[in-house]
This record gives sequence, structure tokens and C-alpha cells, in this order.
Amino acid sequence: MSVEFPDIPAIMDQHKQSKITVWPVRSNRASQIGDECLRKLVYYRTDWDKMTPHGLALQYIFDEGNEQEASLTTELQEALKKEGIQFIEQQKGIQIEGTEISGKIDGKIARQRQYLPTDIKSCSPVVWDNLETTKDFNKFSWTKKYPAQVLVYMYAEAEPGGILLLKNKSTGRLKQFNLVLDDWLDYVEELLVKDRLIREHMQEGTLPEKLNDPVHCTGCPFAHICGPDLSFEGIDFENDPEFEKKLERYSQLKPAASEYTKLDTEIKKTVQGRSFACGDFLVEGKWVTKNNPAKEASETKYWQKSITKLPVAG
Amino acid sequence: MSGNTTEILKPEQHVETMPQMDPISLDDSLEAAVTLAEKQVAILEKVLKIALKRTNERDWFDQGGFPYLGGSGAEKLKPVFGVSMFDMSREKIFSKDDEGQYYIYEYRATYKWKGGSTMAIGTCSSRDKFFAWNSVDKIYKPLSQVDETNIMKSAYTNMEVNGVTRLLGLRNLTWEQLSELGFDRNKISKVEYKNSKTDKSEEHQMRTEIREMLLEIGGNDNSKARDNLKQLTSFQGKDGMVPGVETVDRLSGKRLEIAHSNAKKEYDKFQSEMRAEQ
Repeated sequence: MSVEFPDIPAIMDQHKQSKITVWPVRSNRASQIGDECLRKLVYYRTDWDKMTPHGLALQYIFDEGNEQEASLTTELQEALKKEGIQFIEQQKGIQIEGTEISGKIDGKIARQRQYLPTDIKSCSPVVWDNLETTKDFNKFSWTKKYPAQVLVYMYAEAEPGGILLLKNKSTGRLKQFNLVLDDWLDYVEELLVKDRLIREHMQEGTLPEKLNDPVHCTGCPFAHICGPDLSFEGIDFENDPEFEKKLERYSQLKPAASEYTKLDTEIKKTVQGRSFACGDFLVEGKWVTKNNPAKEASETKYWQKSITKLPVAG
Repeated sequence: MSGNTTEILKPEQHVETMPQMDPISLDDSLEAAVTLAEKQVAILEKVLKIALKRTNERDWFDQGGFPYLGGSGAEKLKPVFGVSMFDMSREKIFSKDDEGQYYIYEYRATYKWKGGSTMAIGTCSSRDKFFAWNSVDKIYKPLSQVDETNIMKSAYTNMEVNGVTRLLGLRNLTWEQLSELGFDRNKISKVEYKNSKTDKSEEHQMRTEIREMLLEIGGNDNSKARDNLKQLTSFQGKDGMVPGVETVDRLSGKRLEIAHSNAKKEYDKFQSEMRAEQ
């Protein structure tokens, strides 16, 4: 008898696909207000129904993130309780008075009459490694908006401090970013101005200037109604036979070089602190002491090259 | 590096809308023209190789037995090669026929790459069978049930694919070309529709091609293209002359196939005349 196996990933894809929906946007969402494109923020309000829905891959990521954040909330509550700290007002709706900025907070860390609006985000290990300070949130288009979200909650609730908790999706470890409202007042002012401009544009039926930024605009859900002018640099085509020869030789030697590096590492481990003969080889060595000047931590920039051999016809 | 970028990238006669920039006409020497043509072929081959490296099987589809780059592929290739897009505009054109009112979204934008540019057009109609056909009752859905965003998005994607593939020379590819470069046809999604001799997506492509060919013949003049279409699609019926259509969206099935074939003949003739003039 033949066995019939259901195609589970396909069934799951279909299920996830059915969850992809576009909802009306009736306020300037705290989670979006940090977006650098004012035009996009206006579109969210005026043309939300024309927005390109996110794809299947993103739906998986969103669901995974929501699950991780929900399970963290439960565990966090238990852990904090032992320390006499409470995690209260979960999913409380907030609105900044006199504006159309609103959102829902994940909760507030409550301790000794201090109530810190807290937002929990989960992220991939790569993003996790890249985020060390609040400045680093500018590295990715989506993380750029995180601080704004917490700041909006702090401002709305008139709390001087707030917390952004970041969870590594792979290891489960947490990173904490503390925000003090006084340090961010200029930025909060910018967010409030954005809200005012959005309302003005909506009232007058106008649109802000296009951002025309290839990085930001690529994949924008409103690209088909905005039509940004996008200039990409792209690759050049070089006609340099000499350099082509070098690249050819480089790609031929690369496998051998990798093998050499691997062997070198293994040999170094074996010979360290020893001198001996082995077959036709004499292996000797000595300890060398080098005084390295102390270096301050610094940021280095380097060009990470990637050389790919293109397929040859035939 | 002693690379000679400008020399290789100068030829723009592959950019179909810019015959006036043909570099061959700048030089009377046949030998120089042949060398230039060879370099162009080499560049286009390189473009294809890089395009295949930078896309995957989900970015291509098999339609009517030919490989086509999809919207996701075009989106990936724009930044790789530096294909820029400017001056996008869109128009919603209303029309009416025996089955009622419908609309067509037409997107236009200028695409630029290495000194060459082309005006790309993308269209999609609220009569697009993929979005608007009620296969149970075998009728078109009422306009209120057709998701307008889908029509807009489809027209936009159509424009993106047309702009990118035209500039990069990634049109009219064959599976032989792709498999020679190690691309596996079996991994590509096939666009197939049940109960239809000619699949709907292929019909969409054919309509787009007719529109583009006629627009190019007519120097991007809509009314000239419309007149040409009307003439191309009129035929002698049993009861006399059947008038031609004014929009490609009225074409389907056998009539569409014949119109496509006639438009292709006109286009080939137009191109050889252009070459002869050069």
C-alpha cells in the first residue's frame, strides 16, 4: 500500500498567506512615526487600501517575532517578580494628547514608584550583534523606528524613562537599552512636527516631497503610487585582460589557499612549544615576545570583497 | 586599472527607443562597426551571466515555453546593474464594451542604464482574467469585486519588468541560452492554466508586447498606435468587414494570437527599415 504524505510546508504557507491582510490606518502609529519618509506616513493614512501587503516570508517573521515576544513577556514577569519588580499595564493603548499619534505599549516596568514604558522586540542574531547602543538602531531601516516608539510611549505617559528590550531570536538572550526622555527631547519634537505635517497634508490633500532614496524606497509598499526617482550606482564593466588573468589565477589558487590556512592552523596547534623531527621534516620553533601598544576601541571600515566566477557557456 | 569602460558601454543601439544615439553611424568603417557589435554581444552575454547569478529560480517563470524574468527578478537586478527609474506616471483609462465599463491602468517611466534610456510602459486591465474572471459562472466579476490595488500593482510590475529587461537585453531569451549557463529549467515555475489553450498570463504578455511594438512603430504616439491596432485587427468576416479594436484588452484567444503575429511582422519590418536607414 502506498503511503500518502501531506505537504505540510505548503499547507502552512497557505495558512500564513491567509493571514496577510491590509488594515485601515486611522492614526499615526507609534511604531511607524519614526519612519524617515513623511510621504509614506501620509500614504499610510490616505492610501492604506492601495498599500502592497507584505509577503509570505515577512508574515513568517512577524508571527515568529510575536510568539517570541509573547513567551518572553510571560517569563519576564516571573523573573521580575522574584526581584520585586512588576510588569504592568500590558497592551495598554496610548495617545499623545492633541496629536493623532497612538499605539499600544508592551508594558511598564514598575519599581519603587517608577514606571518605565517598555517595548520588546526580537531580532535575528546578525541584527543583534550589530546593536550595542541606541545609535546603532540607525543601521537598519526597521530598527531605526524602535526608539521613536518607546519615546512616544514615554511622552504620552509623562514618564521620564523607558526601556527597549531586544531578544536574540536564536539564543534567547536579552539586551537592554535605557532611554531618558530629557536626552531625546529634540527628537520627540521632530516626531510631533511630523504628526502635525501629516495632518496638514491630509487636510489639504497634498503630499510631501518624494524621498527618492534607493535604499529606503526599494520595497516600499507605496512605490507603485509614489513613483520615486531612483538612481542606482550598479556595477561597471571593465575591459582589462591583465586584471582578468589575475582574477582567473586567484580563483584557481583559492581552494589551495584555503587548504593551506586550515593545515597551518592545525600544525600550529601541534607544534606549539615543541621541536621535533617527523619523517623527512625538522620542526623547530621559539617563543617570541612582542610588546603591543594599548589600542583604544575604534570603528574600522573595510571593503569586504566577493569574487564570483561567472558561468561559462557550454 | 586600465579598464576601458566608456568604449564598451557606448553602444546604445540595443536600447530600442534611442535609435538616434546609434554609435555605429558615427563611424563609417565596417570593421569598427563589427568590433563594436561584437563588444555589445559580449556585454549582453555578461549581463545575462550576472543576472542569472543574482537571481534564483523563483525570479523566473516559464511561460509558453519561454523563460521570462518576473517582477522580483527585475527588482533585484536594478541595483546590481544600476538601472535607474525616473518620471513615473500612471493613468487610469476608462472604457466600455458590451460587457460594461472597465478600466486600464497604464504606468510609464523612463529607465536609464549606462547612458541609454527607454520609456517603459506597463498595463493591466480590470478585465485581466487572473484578477477578474469568475471561473464558476464564466463571467467577469463586477468592478466592485476587482481589487484595484492588484490591477495597479500588476501594471507597475509589468512596467518594471519591461524597463529592466529591455535595457539589459534580457528579452526573447531561450532555454538553450539559460541552460548553457547552468540554469535549471525544471526548477522554474510554469505558468499554466486549466481549460485554456493559451494561458491567461501569456495572453497578458502578448497584449503588452503588441502595445509596445505598436507604440514604438508609432513613435510613442498613442493615437497612431491605436489606429495601427484597429487596422491590424480588422478582418473580412462572413457578413462583411469586421472592424478592428482600439485597445489590446479587447483581444483574446485566437484573435489575440493573430493580432500578435501581425504586429510582430509589422515590427520586424519596421526594425529592418530602421536598420537600413542607419
